[in-house]
Amino acid sequence: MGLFGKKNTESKLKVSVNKDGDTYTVLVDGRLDTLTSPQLDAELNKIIGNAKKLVLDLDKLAYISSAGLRVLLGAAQQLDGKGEMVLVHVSEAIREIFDVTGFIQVFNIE
Amino acid sequence: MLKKINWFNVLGLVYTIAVGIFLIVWSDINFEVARIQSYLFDFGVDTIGAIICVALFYGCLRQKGEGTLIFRLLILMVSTSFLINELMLFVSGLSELRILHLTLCVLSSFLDLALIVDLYYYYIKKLLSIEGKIAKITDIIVPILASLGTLIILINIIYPLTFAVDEQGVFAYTSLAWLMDIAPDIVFIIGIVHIIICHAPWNQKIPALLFVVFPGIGYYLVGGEHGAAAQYGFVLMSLIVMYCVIFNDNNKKMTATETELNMGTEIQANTLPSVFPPFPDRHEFDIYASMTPAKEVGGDFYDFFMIDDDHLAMVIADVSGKGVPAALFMMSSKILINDHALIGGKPSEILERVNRAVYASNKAHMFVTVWLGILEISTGKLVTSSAGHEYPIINVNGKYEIFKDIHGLAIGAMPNSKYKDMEITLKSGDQIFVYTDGVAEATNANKQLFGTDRTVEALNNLPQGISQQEVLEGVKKAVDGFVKDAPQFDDLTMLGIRYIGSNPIEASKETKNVEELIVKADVNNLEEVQAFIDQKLEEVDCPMKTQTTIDIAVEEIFVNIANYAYGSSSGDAVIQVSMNEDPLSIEITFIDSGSEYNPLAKPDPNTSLSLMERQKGGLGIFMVKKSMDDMTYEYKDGKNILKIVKNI
Repeated sequence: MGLFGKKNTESKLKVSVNKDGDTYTVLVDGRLDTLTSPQLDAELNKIIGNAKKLVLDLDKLAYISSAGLRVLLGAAQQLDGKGEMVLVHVSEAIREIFDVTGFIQVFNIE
Repeated sequence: MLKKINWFNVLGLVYTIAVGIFLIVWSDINFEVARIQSYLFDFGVDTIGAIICVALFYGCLRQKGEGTLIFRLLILMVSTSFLINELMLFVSGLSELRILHLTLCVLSSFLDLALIVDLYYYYIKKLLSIEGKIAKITDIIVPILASLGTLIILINIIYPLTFAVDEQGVFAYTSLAWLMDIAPDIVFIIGIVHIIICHAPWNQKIPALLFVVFPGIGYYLVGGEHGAAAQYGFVLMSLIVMYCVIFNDNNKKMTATETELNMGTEIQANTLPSVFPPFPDRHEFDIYASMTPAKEVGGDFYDFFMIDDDHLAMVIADVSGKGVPAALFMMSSKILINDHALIGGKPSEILERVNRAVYASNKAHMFVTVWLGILEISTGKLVTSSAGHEYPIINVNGKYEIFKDIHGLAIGAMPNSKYKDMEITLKSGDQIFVYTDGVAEATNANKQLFGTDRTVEALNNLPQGISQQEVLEGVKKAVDGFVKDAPQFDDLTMLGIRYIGSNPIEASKETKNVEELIVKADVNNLEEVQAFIDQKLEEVDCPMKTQTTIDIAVEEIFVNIANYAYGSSSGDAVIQVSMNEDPLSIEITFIDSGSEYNPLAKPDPNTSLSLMERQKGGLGIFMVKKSMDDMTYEYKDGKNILKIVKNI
């Protein structure tokens, strides 16, 4: 597979950003795994400096591994004190993963 | 913490340092004085020699053993020789200091004599532990020679017998100067003779000869010159060589002891049956045993052997105490049990006979707890007897349980101990697990014991139908997972048997159908690996949620291998998958030949920390641990083998 393996990762994760003043809503659609997480990370890094409120809509998030969790943790840590990060539409399966890893206590989940 | 101060060491060190500093300063101040320009070389040797004396004295402060006191005294004497030599050279040619010059000459000659006698006789004698008739004679001769030599030197104060300092303050030997050499020469020869005839091994003798002969020759070559500092340099060289030899020798002695202990451990381990399967042509049972010694030689042992064609004897035992005595006691107990079992009788009778034999010759008051079981292979009838040993854990109803047998006293404790027999009839598939206290008393960092309950639990958590080797490894893993990094104090000894009976088809359950995928350990192959697993899961209509959980686990483990197993180089990852029935579960094994890494040994991340305190590492494996029904790791034949099981 090599280099060419990367070509279809785009389709596995779609990230779209809506801006409303200094509130950013990020729709995460697809899989957050080792290969796709850097994409979300890059997207979040672009807006994290300006955001007062960051809403992550996980409605269409089908899969998250530790790589994805690390991106979310990194974003929340960067925002801490400067703004807030809210996770919305968290499915039962994803909530379970947050629960096991203890992130349920540190993330703001609505 | 009051430590006794060794004043000899402190003062000696201070003295050598003082001499060193004095000679540096003194040489420096007098460097310009024309009178001593011709002695510059000697001044240099004196100063450097005094400094080396400091280093040497410091180096042997912690040395212990034969002759180290004499050795340090020698260093102090050499240091003093350098000091006196330099002062003597300084006053040379000053008529007003003639008396001082003469005194220094006498002192210097006396030190020369004392050095030779100490170094080449007393020190060598001590170092090579020379004793015997000749030593007794020389012990008388040497002091006489030394006194004679001293007398000759002292005469020089009142009469110029061997040397003189004239009115101008110039030193000169007389024609009788050779008188001074008699005593040191004889002592020197005595020293060499002693080295050659002593009983020390040649690897000690040759260095001893070398450091006597070579510096000796050097000493005599330059020793004739008055005030030649180099002669003390040779003595110093001699001391340095000795210092190195002694150090090496001491280290060698310690290595030898360690090697011997390791050999002991090996010999002990070799007496236990360690080839599995032990009876390849017997299919009526599956037996496995292992011993993991905590440190050195210990007192745990297991044993099993055929008494006759239909009877298998099994032994597990734990000797009181540790180390070499326990190991020796273990060996004799093992042989006695073996012998008496072969002679015949019920386990209780065998233990009673062994006890009488052990007690009779047990001066060291040691004892050994023993569990002995004899299995009648054709019928499955197992008769056991226990001499104060831990309860066996038996699985006769599909579940491991503690079997509270009736204990007798440990063997060796009392002269006429009586033992009871217990009888169990094993069905095909029944299992027995016996162990020593190292298992139940394995302790974690919080001083909690692993305990028998956890042992039973660990046994019941193991998958059904695995081999006895896997059972024991499973228990070991459970103990290791519990103990983590806390040091293990006791041996971990276990023996497990599964009775199959003479109809093996019924007992050997599943022949697993394993599928395998080999890919380069690279994150870009993640999808291929997941697709391989998913296809297997879809065949059994795995619920979507479970499939996602398994996919995540597969990702975490595979990415871990891809990122870390091979460092900067690359290698393959092997993924094996098989389905188990009852309960329906998937078993996935990841194999890589990268550097050894046990992800289960890593501490779990603390999930109760606040947002800013949370770390990004360790999450992946933790998620796997939490979401899978079983997870085991082993490192075997240079391969990391990580297995996960998930019920579907």
